[in-house]
Amino acid sequence: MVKKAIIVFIVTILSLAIFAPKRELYYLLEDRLKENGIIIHNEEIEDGLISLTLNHPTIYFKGALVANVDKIRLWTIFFYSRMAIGHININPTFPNIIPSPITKLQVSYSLVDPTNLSILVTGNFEDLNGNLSIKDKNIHIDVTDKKLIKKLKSQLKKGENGWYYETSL
Amino acid sequence: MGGIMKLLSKDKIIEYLIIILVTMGIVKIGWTIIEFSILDGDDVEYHKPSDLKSLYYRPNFSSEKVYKEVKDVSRIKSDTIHSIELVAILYQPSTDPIITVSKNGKLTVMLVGNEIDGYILEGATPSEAFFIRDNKNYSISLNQENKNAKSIITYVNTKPSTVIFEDDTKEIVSRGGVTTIKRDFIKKYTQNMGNIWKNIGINEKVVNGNIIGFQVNFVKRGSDFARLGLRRGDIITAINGNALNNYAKALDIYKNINSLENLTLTIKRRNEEMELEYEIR
Repeated sequence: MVKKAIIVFIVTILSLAIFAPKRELYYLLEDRLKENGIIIHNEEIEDGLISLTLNHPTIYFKGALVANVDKIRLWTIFFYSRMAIGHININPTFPNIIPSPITKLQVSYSLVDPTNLSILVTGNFEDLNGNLSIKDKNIHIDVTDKKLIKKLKSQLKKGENGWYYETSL
Repeated sequence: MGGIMKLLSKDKIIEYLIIILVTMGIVKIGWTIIEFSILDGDDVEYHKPSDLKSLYYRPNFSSEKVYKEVKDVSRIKSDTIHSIELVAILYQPSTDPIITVSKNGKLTVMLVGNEIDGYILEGATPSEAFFIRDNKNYSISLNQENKNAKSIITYVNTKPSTVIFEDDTKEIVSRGGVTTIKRDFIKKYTQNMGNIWKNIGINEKVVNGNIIGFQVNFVKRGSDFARLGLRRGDIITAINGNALNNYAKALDIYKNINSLENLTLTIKRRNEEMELEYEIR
């Protein structure tokens, strides 16, 4: 009986990931993002077994072109989901607002910590770590890179543990 | 493999296969139901607003031409014409000024180039008209004591009465109701956006879910932005006629500001709409 339950559990989890209508779920995500002013434009959608890849999308925020992206990979196996954005070319208008170049931006969600999404940004600077709190509806990112602190100082706050960026959603 | 086969009889394998297939089938059916009942959305794409006017929708911004004419004339010492009274000036930055003068009680509407008593209208500011006769320059000011005298202008200056004559060393100069900004002044801010946010705080103003403009939350006292006439609480609703109802338009202007020669900010101040006019040189 235990064996059967384990098989059912594993097969269910795998089936949920494999049979998920990924495109439709992505369109739902797009709708939610649109409500917050974010539009993923002109993407080529590529279905994977348990992932969805968006090739060469353009990101707009509240009508403004923010970035051209090489690839966005969405990946989920029910209790763990991850969105990895590779090679982000930020609109040159924002050089002092968003750190650039960004080689990877990763947002992950785990049922272990259901109220937070963790954020990791890598690029030509020390890695930025942060989190998006669903409960408090805010984003907090710790900034340790000295050059980046100098560049973005006007947008950063200083706390006990150093400089950080915080914004509410 | 042989080991597993030994552990599982043929019946057991079939039983597990059925469990796996049934589970997969149930999940697939579940997803299909969700797909057709809830997930009926479509790809969201960005559509450039169709009402987006070109930043240069007023390419023949004739205020510059008029201003030059006015400037050239006004810089030369001029005599005042006493025989003609200036009744009104219709001053539009986008067109030549139109003035109304009174002579012996008779009103005459004049365009640039029109003549009255040998005086040819050369140009005007919102408060003064300039004429030329026999290679001499003349001017008539609006009579402030005359209650009927008025200057109709398409913008509102925060301090219309303050007229400061041009000083080449100043970055911001107000003259005749038009504020002239040096291009270097603009560059100072476009090259480092951080300089902007140290002096002024601006946030989107959202009404019923739509951006209606950008509100000034604070202006540092004595800062360049304060000198430009912006005040706390102002809502900038349009720039050069383009309604600022999304970030794209604001950024378009920011990107192209170095190539602009004129800038008109439409603002709402205490529910009153007004325009701030700038000339960039």
